[in-house]
Amino acid sequence: MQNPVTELLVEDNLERTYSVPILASHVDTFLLLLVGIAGVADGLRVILTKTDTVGSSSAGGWIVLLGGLLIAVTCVHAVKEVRSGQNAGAVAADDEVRQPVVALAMLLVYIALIDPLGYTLSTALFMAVYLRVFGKYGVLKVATISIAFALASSWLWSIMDMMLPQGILPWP
Amino acid sequence: MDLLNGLMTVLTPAYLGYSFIGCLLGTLVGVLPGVGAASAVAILFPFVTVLPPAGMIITMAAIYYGAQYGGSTTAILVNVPGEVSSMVTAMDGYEMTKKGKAGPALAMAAISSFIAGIVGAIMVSVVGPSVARLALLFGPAEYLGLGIFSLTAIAALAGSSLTRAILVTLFGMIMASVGFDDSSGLPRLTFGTTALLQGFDLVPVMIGLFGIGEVLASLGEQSSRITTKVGKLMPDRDEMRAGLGATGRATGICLMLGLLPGMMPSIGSFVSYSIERYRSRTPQRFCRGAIEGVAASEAANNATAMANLIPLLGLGIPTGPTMALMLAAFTMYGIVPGPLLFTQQGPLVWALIASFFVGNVILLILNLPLVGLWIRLATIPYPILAPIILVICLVGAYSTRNTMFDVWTCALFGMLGWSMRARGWPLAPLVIAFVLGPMIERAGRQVIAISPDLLLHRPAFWFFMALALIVIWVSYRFTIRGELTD
Repeated sequence: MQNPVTELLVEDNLERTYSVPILASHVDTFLLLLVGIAGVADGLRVILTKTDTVGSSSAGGWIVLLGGLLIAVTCVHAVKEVRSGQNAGAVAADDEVRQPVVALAMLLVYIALIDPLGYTLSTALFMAVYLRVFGKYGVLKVATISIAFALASSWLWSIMDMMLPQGILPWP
Repeated sequence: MDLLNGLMTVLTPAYLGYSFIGCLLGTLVGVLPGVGAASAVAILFPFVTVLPPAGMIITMAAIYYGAQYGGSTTAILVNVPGEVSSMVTAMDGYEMTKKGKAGPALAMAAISSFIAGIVGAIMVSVVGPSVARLALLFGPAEYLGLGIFSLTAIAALAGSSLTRAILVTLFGMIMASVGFDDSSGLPRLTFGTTALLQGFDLVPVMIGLFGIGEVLASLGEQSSRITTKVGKLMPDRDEMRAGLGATGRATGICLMLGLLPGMMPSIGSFVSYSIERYRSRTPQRFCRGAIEGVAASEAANNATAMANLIPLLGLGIPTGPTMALMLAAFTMYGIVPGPLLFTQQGPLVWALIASFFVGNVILLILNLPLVGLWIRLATIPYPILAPIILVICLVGAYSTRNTMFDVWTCALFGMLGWSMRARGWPLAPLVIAFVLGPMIERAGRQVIAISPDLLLHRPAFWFFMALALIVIWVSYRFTIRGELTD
C-alpha cells in the first residue's frame, strides 16, 4: 500500500512541473524585450546627448538598429508561440532543474568568496561543500580530495605565473 | 615549398612538443563526459597563452582535434558522447562495443579521422592561399555582405527555429557592443558603471557558455555507464572495405560543406550518416552496429573541422564557436586572419597547416595504446569531476584579464548557456554574432562614411545577399519538412 504522504508529494511535483506561471514561462521573451529596449534607449542617449562627438550618430544608430530589430523579432516570436500554443517555459521536471540550480548557487557563493578568502581557501571550501552535497562522500574523503585539489591547483597556477587572489591564506 | 618549410619547423623538438601536449590535453579533456571540443578549447585557452604565438596556435589546433578524438573514444566505449558530433558515432559505435567489437570500432574511428584529417590538411594548404588571394579584392562593402551572409547561414543552420536563431544573433551582437565604441570612443550600454566599460571578452563568454553551461546541463542528466574490454583491435577485410568507402564519401562531401559558415562538424556528421544509411542496401543495420556509421561520422567530423579553417585563415570569418576562439588566439598576438595572413605571417600559417599532418599522426599513435587510460578517466564519478571543471573554468576566465569582472561574466554566461540549452535555444549564433558583430558594424560604418551608393556598384555584396536569401529559403524548406533539427 502506498504511503498517503508520498502520493501527495508526487501530485504536488506534477502540479509544479506543468503549471508554470506566465512570467516564468515567457521569461526569455521578457528578457529579450528588456535587452532590446535597453539598446534603443542607450542608442538614443548617445545620438541625442553626444552631438559634439564625431561618429556619435553611427555609434548610437547601430545599437538603436539592433535593439529595434530585437524588439520586432521578439514580438513576432511571442505571437508565433502564443498562436501555436507552445509554452516557451515548459522546460523540464523539477529533478532536472534542481541540481543545476543548487550547483549554480554554490558557484556564485564561491565566486563571491574568492576575493576575500583567496583562491586556495575558497576552492577547498567549494570543493568540500560540492562533494558533500552531490557526492554524498564521507567527511574524510571530502576533506582529502578538496584540500589536495586546492593545494595542488594553487601550486600549478603559480608555476604557470597566474596571479590569483591570495586573500587571508596566501599560498604558495 | 612553403608547406615543406612549415613541416621542417613543426618537426623541431619544441613544436613537436606543442603538438604532442595539445593532442594529449585535448584527448584528456575530450574524454571527460559532458565536455565537447568547443568546451575543451574554451577551458584550456587561457592556460596556453603562456606559450609563444606559433606554439599557442599550434597547441590550440591540436587541442581541438585531440578533443574530437577523445569524444569519439568515450562515445564508442561507454556511450558518453563528449559532443553532438560524437552522438552519431555512439549510435553504431556503442552497439559494436556491446557486440564485443569495440576494438574494430575504435580502430575504424581513428583511421577515418586520420584520413579525413590528412586530406583536409592538403585541402587547406591548396585552397587556403587561393581564398586569401580572392579576399584581397574585398573592400568594406564585400565584408559587410560576407558578414551578413555568414550570420544568416549560421542562424539558418543552427536549429529548427529560424526566429529563435535570429533573436540569439541579435542578442549576441548587442552584447558585443557593450563597452567603449572603437570609432568614437563613446561608452555604450554601460549604464554608468565602470566595470562594463571594458566590455565582455570573448574568452570568459565562451568558457561560460560552453564550459560552465555544459557542466550544469550534464548535472540534470543521468547516463548509464559500463566498462568494457576492447578485445581485437583491427577490423577484418570486409569491415575495412565498407569503412574506407564510407570514409572517402564523407570526407569528400564534408570538405565542401565545411566551407559554408555555420556548417559545424556535428551537422557534417549527421548529413554523412544519413547519406550512408540512404545508399546502403541494408539500412536496417544502422544504429545496430554498422561500421560504415562509425567511419562516416568520424570522417565527416574531421573533414568539416579542417574545411572550417579555410574561411578562418583566408577571410578571417569563423564558421563556428571553436573557430571563434582560434580567431581570438590570433588576435591576441596582433595577428589578423584574412587575406594578408598568408603573406604577412607565412611561416606561422604554414607551420600551423603542417602541424595538422603531425598532429593527426600523433593522435593515431597516442589514441589506440592509451584507450584503457581514457576509459578510466571517463568513468571518474561526475560529482568529483564537475567541481574540478568548474574551478578550472573560473581560473581560466580570471586569467584572461586578471579581473573578477571576467569571472562574474563567465558565471553569468554559464547560467545563460545552461538555460538556453534547457529551453532549446541555439548557442552557436550567439558566439558568432559576438565575433562578427563588430566586424559588420565597422564595415557598415565605413560604407556609410564613403557613400551608401557604394553598395550599388559592388556586385559581390549582392552576391552574398543572394546567398543569404538562398540559405534562408533552404532552411525554411528543411524546417517545414522537419529535417533540420538541433
